[in-house]
Amino acid sequence: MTHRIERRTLLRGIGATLALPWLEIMTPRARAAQKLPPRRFVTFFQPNGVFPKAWDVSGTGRDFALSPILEPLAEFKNDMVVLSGIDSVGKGHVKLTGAFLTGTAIENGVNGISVDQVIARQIGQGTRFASIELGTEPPRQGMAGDDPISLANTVSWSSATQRISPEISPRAAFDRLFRDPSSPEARRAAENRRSVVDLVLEDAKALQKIASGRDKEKIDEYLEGVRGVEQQIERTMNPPAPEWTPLTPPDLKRPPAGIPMSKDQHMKLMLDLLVLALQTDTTRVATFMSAHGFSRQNFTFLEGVKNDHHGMSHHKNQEALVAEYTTVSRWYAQQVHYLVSKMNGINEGNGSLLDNSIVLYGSEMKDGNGHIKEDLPLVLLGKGQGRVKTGQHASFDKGTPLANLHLTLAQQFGVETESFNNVSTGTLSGLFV
Amino acid sequence: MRFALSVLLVLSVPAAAEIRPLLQKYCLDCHNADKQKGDVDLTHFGSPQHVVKEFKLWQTMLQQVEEEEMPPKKPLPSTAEREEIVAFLRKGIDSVDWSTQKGIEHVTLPRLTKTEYNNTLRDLLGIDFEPGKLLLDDGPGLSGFTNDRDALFISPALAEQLFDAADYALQSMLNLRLKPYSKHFEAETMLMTERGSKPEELPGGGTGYSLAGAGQRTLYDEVIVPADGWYRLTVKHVGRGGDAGLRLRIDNEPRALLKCLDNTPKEETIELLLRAGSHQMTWNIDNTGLRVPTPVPVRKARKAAPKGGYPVFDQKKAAPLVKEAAATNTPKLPVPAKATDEIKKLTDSLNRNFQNMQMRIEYLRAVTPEGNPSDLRSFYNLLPERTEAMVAVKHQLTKAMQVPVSELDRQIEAANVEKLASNRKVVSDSLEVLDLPFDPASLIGSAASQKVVKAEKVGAPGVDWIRVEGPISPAGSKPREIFQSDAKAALSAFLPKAFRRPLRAGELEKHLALYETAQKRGESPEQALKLAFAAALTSPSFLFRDELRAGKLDDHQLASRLSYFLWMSLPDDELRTLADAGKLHDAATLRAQVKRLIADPRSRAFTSTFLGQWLGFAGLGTEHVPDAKKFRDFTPALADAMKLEPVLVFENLLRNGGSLTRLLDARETFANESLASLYGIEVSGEAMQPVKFTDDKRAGLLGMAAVLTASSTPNRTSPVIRGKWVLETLLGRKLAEPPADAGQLDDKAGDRGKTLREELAAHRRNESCASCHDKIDPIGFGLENFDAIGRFRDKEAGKPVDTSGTLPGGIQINGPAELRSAIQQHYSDEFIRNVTQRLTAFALGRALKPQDEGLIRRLLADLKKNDHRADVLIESIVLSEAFRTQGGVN
Repeated sequence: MTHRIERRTLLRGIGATLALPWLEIMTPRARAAQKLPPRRFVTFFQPNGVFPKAWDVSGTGRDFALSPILEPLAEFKNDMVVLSGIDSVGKGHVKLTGAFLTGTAIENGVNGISVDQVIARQIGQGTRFASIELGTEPPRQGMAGDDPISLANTVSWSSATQRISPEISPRAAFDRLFRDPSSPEARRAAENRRSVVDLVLEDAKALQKIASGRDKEKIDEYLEGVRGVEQQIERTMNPPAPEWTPLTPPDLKRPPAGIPMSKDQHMKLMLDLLVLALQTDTTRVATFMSAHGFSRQNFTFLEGVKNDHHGMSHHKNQEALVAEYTTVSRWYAQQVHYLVSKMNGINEGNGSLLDNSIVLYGSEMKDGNGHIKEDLPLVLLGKGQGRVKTGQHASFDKGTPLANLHLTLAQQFGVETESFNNVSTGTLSGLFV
Repeated sequence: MRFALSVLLVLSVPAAAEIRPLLQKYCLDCHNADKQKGDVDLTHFGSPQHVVKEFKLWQTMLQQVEEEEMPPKKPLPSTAEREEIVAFLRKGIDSVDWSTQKGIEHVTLPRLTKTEYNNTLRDLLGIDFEPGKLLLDDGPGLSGFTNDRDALFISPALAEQLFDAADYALQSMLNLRLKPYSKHFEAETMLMTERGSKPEELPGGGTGYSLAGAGQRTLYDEVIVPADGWYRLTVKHVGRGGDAGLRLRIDNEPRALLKCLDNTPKEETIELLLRAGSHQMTWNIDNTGLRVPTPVPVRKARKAAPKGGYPVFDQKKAAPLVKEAAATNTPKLPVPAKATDEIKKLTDSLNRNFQNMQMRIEYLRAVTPEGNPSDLRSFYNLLPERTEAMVAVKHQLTKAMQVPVSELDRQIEAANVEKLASNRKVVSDSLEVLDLPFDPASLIGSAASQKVVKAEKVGAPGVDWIRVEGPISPAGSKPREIFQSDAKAALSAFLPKAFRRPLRAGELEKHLALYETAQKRGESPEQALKLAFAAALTSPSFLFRDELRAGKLDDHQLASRLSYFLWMSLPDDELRTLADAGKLHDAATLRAQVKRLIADPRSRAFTSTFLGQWLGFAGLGTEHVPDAKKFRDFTPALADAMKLEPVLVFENLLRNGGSLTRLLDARETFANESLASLYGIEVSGEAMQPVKFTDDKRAGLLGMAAVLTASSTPNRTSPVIRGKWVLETLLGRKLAEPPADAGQLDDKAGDRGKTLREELAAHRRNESCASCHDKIDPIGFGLENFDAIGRFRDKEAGKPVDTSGTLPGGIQINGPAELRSAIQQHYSDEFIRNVTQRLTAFALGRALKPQDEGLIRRLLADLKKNDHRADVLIESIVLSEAFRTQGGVN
């Protein structure tokens, strides 16, 4: 007991002198102290599929030409791998959205764990957030076939039954991600809690003296629990040094309250936050729901577009609708371009943030018309710290399960597993060095 | 020590040797030291000195030998031999002087359960901020209840949650002093995702969004509230006819469902508990759960199912053949002469629909009217939307061709005489099996055809504006003034309530000191007082009920035992005053207090927790959710009504001195509109009202939907689970665990054209399965008249339900009414003993032990003298020594 009290008194002293404001911690340190930057995994999900003829690239291997939809990403042709031949499972928007990162179909609300969460458990334990999930559309009511539409507002599942809803408010996301865990208010709250803990420990010790047998064990368990609370207080007063800090101070600007009316603006704000979270090593795994998996987003702000996204995705091969559909798909590709350009502009010493990341971009279905689940539109961007063989169109055998991509990605990030959600049949070859 | 003494107080001891030869002859072949079948070894059995230690075994043997369940196979004892064994066992059990067995055991420190924690804070603060929701769930202990003291420990995760929950609840109290926040949202300034998203004039004035159309429009915005607490959300909405509702989701949780049934604008208020910060508020149309559930049409089959069930239809195998047949059999509208591009396109489109429809018709043809009606139904159900699509195309085509529909129909008929005749025969034959009318015109898109289950009509609710205000005190709450400006007075009032006892020396001073140092650090007086309160709410003196010392409980400890038993919350002022005055332990006072506590609405926590956990329906609607495809009537609201029914019946017995046997046979129960509709009786309104059945098929617990649903799988009924439920849960018997390799029926059992009884019969052909299932299944068969959510049925898989069965002891039954009366006639005592044991375990917060037999026997004797009155049982438990005493630590 005495030992514990001494330790705490000591920590109090340190806490008082180490009161670094958060931004100070974030300033660059001597290069020598820095290890290699962390690797990151990003998912950019685009709903409702694409018009296949406008998506498919021509040629395979290194000798390929971009398609109309992917053309906005021409600048990054050498940083990307276009994947083809990979099939999803299930049918309809809800199941296919659910399968995008799990490779399994939702049955009675039960899915599998998603690959972003698997990777987060592997590489996200040292950061403030193991993963972040951002989006632009809320969940909504209703049924699609047997499945609640509300399930399709995310592709992230932390377990077979627990899905993680994306944050869509820029201000709320900012406050959550960049709240200083050792701010003066947090330290004050910790100080207050410490005074409470001191008092209850006295009570517990008094009880412990008269308790015996199982009663005594119960009080010991209580003391053990309170010790955990003390450790929490210590972490606030004396936060552990971050493993990685950016080379140049990031621009931390708190976004205005409210959700922007303009989809364009909303998307950019959320992507800015996502990049900021990666840059500051607040997280290493980020999943972006550019829209709900059954999005009926109104796209009339784009020239020549009259319909909502889901509506036009059932184009029945009518020329006008196909044109609208492709315009929207290109708009999404432009958002991806915005994301990767931003990542590419951040120097991390050994290369850019993009060079240290793998970005998975794609949709839950191929053609929205018919909910085609074969040959999903999928692209990898970034070299993942020199591991990805970029600048190629990797064409796989027809019917390659989506879970094989998940398994391959998980293994690349160091997850030791031979199977993904029990549905993968192997790994994808030719993607990594 | 006390226990060891009482073992010696055996009255007249039958000698173990008396029974040895019979055991040797009939039991020891299986129950010996080597085989230990069913984990039972009788090698050294028979010594009455060990009755107390081996009490369960003595009881089980007595029951099984008496009911001729053991020995299970030849050689069987003669009647005289059997009587001899039974007499020996009886004598042995009765040889114990049970009156010396008080059931006084040391019970470990109970930590407040999640429910108790929540209720205690609610009663301390006067407002329910639901702080219990921040805590981990408690698991059930050996007693089967979550208030089992041995199972209530504190994990590191829970410790942190307890600190957070206390801070949250206290801060929420303080937040009521904030300047109220109010924000008004005009619908037209909110975000709207979907198509046609233009604000419009709403009926009755006002502009807003209508959430109709494809039923997928989402109106949403961010709500940022300044502080934790309750908020009042007011919405002005208007309906447009039809059964439409507005669903409010906050973040990812559905939080309200408002009815918008007519076009009179309404302002409705919802109270919401919100944490400080940003929330996603979304509004959608939702018509589920609004209408009274309509019974899903009974699966009718005109013809009796063939012996051995319907053939299994292999869709995969049939697919290529169907495709081939459709290619030749599809009717077509020939492209009219001199057709414009538009006409050609429309004709193509119509013919594609014909082709699509033909595929379904070919499937019907492949199944044949002799096939499984459920296959016929599912393929038929795909036709109506084709018909609808054709109606639409033909409408455009007649405009383009400038001919009436009748002319178009004539052309279609003329070009496809044989094909259409053949199609019509296939569809009309199928519909005859399903007992549905057939409209020949539906196959050429000239008449609407109906799905077997009609689509519901949907209205179009409009939202004009929304206002969010708060923090408020929610309706019905009485916030207590705990934050008095005089800290000493505030703490003197709060601490003894929280600790449920008078303060000990120094306690007030310590909390005052905490208050003062916090102020010195710069905290406001309110925040400083909050910290002192928080210290109280995280102290072991609050989180545990202190019964450390052995001996008679003092009046304050007794007050807590009483209030946590019957309210699952802390003692109120009256109990505290009685305890302060040292009057509570008086028997007459205790009796009066039991009555008062039972009459108080706070006793709902006890009745619903006790029944929900004993009878196993606590998880209905959360952990146990029937398959949504098969049971569309099952909504969260219906689940709530189901769970409330037994609780109300039990409360009614408690408050009116009813007999516990009524739980088995009462025709009087409670139902609201949706539950009544499930039961096929009429009640209107959402409130639960007293109802009375006119016959016995639904009488008592065995007819209640909560029980029937909880003892089914999400997909189907399970005679096995129901049989086990009756034996274990209702009667308190313990069945052997199934062997690890015992098979299990899959979810589709009962859907393959065979009844469950037939499927289970196949399962029982295996002898090792039969020995147990012969006991279990026949009870469940008696309840097969109720489906997996408790609806009555007399047919299953198109065949009449066979509800005949045999109960242990060879009692023949047929149907739920006979099952019930058999249980009442033959097992009533067993049921009463079981209720008594369960309730005692709940009251004491521990699993019962053999030495509790004396207590149980006394309680049963009290009950017998008092017509098995439910309230008498509670009183007797509370007045028992076991309830009023803490045992020593052994």
